[in-house]
Amino acid sequence: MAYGLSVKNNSGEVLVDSDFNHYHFVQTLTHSSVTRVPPLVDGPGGSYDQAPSSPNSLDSDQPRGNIYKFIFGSNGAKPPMCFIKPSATGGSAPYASIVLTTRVGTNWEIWVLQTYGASAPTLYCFSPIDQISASTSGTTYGLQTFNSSGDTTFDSRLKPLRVIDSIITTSPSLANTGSSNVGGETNINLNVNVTPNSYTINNAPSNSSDIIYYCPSIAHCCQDKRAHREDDGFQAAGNNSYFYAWARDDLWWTFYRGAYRVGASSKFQSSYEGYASGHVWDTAEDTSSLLAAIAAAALGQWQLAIALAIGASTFTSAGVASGNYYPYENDSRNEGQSNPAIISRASFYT
Amino acid sequence: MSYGLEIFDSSGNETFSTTDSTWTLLGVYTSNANTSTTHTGVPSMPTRIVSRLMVNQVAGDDEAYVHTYSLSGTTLTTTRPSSSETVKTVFMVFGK
Repeated sequence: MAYGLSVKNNSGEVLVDSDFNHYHFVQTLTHSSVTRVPPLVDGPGGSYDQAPSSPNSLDSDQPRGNIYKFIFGSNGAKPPMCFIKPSATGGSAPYASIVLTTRVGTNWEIWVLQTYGASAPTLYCFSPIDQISASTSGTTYGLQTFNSSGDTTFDSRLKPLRVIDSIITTSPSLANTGSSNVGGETNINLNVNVTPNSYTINNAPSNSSDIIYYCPSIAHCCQDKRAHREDDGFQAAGNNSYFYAWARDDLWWTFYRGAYRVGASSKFQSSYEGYASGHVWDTAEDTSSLLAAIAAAALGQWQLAIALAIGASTFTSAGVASGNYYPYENDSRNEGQSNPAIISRASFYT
Repeated sequence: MSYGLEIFDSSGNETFSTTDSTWTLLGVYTSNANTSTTHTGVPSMPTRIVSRLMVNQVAGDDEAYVHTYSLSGTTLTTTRPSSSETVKTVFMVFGK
């Protein structure tokens, strides 16, 4: 720089540079609405002579987190940095992450996915100073810098962003460690049970509830459980005796998004939270002839059931994109991509 | 603090100091869905990080890859992992 101000620490890191707009605190935000992706449950109903007619709902161990929607008014196209202040920290704390940051009119809409059942998180929102209209009148203490156009680029009266640590994170390869094929078991478990990736937070305060973090979610994974049941035989009933065969295939799945928490011992932890879940099934039964019964037992068409279910998946009332959220099988995307987590303290901005 | 800079508000509360760390926004760059893009003119600082944002909802049947990237000098090269399943990605480059 030929002129202006550049402040560095003894590590040579630039703290203030008058050529660039610094992020400054704007406000804390509480959510304006909360929703969940509706479950996708579909399959033939009714009862059968021999085939089971259940389960026909989501399993209790298929997670679907809450989606908290926040509206941030910002007069500019540069995205805000919204730090999550979690409702709890520690080994039982919920996972939470920003899964969407999108411009809506002159506002920014931010979606935070968080484990269902926990109290809502709060956002601490920052914008580049050229997008802030907060008044500083009457306050004459502090430091301001200006760029070559005379625009303010740093103003200590507006509480510039202060960072206690920055961590390069990745996400675990999958959310659930169990096998996809569960045989004939119908009490399935798709809860997040992977060991999270844990990172030490340097300069962490003794009170971990003071920690706020910025780490938008980019990783996701989709996992399923597949059950197959079948039986055949001869039902003796006098003149009404018959051969029978039946088969039933069930497919449960959960679509997870990368999520984070401040865990025990102030570790920053990267894992997943359930975003959407579904269960589809198909049943075939035949009691009319031996050959037909054998054909029924050959059922293996949960893919067909999935295809049928897609048409039923319109979620407009929930304000989330429709779809079955089964984009790929037992795999993940973006999980190995480095994702920086920026850590700060809520008490800096009170 | 024996050296450096501390900034206080009118109430005597510290608002910033050289014992803090921070990140300064160097630039915001957008790569459209299913398109590899090279962004030039990225300012330099001794240390830089890149944060990615998904700016559209992940649809139910979308594999939703984010662009990969490399940052070298003043060039941010962003690459689509998939020609049909890569989402629009916003890159925020921070420096310190």
